[in-house]
Amino acid sequence: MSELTTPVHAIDEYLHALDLSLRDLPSDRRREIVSEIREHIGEALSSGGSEVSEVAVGNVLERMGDPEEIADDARQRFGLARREVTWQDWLVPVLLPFGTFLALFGWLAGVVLLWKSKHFARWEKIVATAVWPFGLALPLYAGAFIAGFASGPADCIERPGGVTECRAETTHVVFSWSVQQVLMTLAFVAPLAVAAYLTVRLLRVRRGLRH
Amino acid sequence: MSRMVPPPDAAPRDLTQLRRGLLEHCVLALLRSGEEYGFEIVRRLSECDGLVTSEGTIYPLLSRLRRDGLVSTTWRESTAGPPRRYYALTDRGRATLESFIVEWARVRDAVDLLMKEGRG
Repeated sequence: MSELTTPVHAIDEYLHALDLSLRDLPSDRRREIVSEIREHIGEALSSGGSEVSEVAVGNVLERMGDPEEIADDARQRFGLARREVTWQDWLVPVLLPFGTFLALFGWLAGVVLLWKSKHFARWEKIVATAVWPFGLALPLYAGAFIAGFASGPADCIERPGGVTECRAETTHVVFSWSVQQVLMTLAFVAPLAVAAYLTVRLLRVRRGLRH
Repeated sequence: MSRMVPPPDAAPRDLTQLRRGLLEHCVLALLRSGEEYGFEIVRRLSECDGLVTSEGTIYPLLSRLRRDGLVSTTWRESTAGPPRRYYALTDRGRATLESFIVEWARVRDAVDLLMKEGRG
């Protein structure tokens, strides 16, 4: 079953990437190009033999070319501005997670550059803005706050003579430790994953422009 | 960052632009003998060595030619599979092609001559 579904999945993925790359073209042109290429792929595979293998799909897609390269060519054909990757674009995956540590408004600057960039789709911009406001600073400070709160005054015992003794490890903290750890790890990994994704997107765009 | 560094030799980029311009007229020339559908156009262009680097780039080109009124498209039933979009030269496309053929012959001869002279 997996032999059958994997190549089809690769085609869908390819067409989706192509559609995304072509998004600044007029929508009717974009639809036309994507549907023609879809049919071309179908025909190329059916003329190649009865067996649609992963290798056959790989070869057809390879001949078709990088979606970003096709999009770059299309932009030139239709007289649209080529979309160079600028230094402002490269700042986005740096400023979103780390911006707050560099300057108070570092994250905000990252968001502005993100929304000004021509290389990201709307949904990508929304996700990148939401995960997380102020980037890694949010889970860091939130984590410190929660940790401080959890081992706060409730675990302190007042000794005679005005001395307050606090125990760092209480049953309450131990109990929620694993859940807390998983959540905190996720909270830290998420913005880094988003930054990595945005970087890969920019690298792909640049690779397409090189041809 | 690497964008600022000029490519080791500028020829490939120029050649890409040249190829892009020529390809347009090659498609028109290919349709001179009659209408054809996308897959077949791409297949025949790909047979010419050095003309097409990525087959996918032909489709934006066809779309552009249609927008410029140089080709027209018609849907036709196929014996196998879904209906196909056939491309045919319009009168305007034919006129563009004829004038290109004359111009191209002049440019090609001039370039060939200079290239030969350069070799001594």
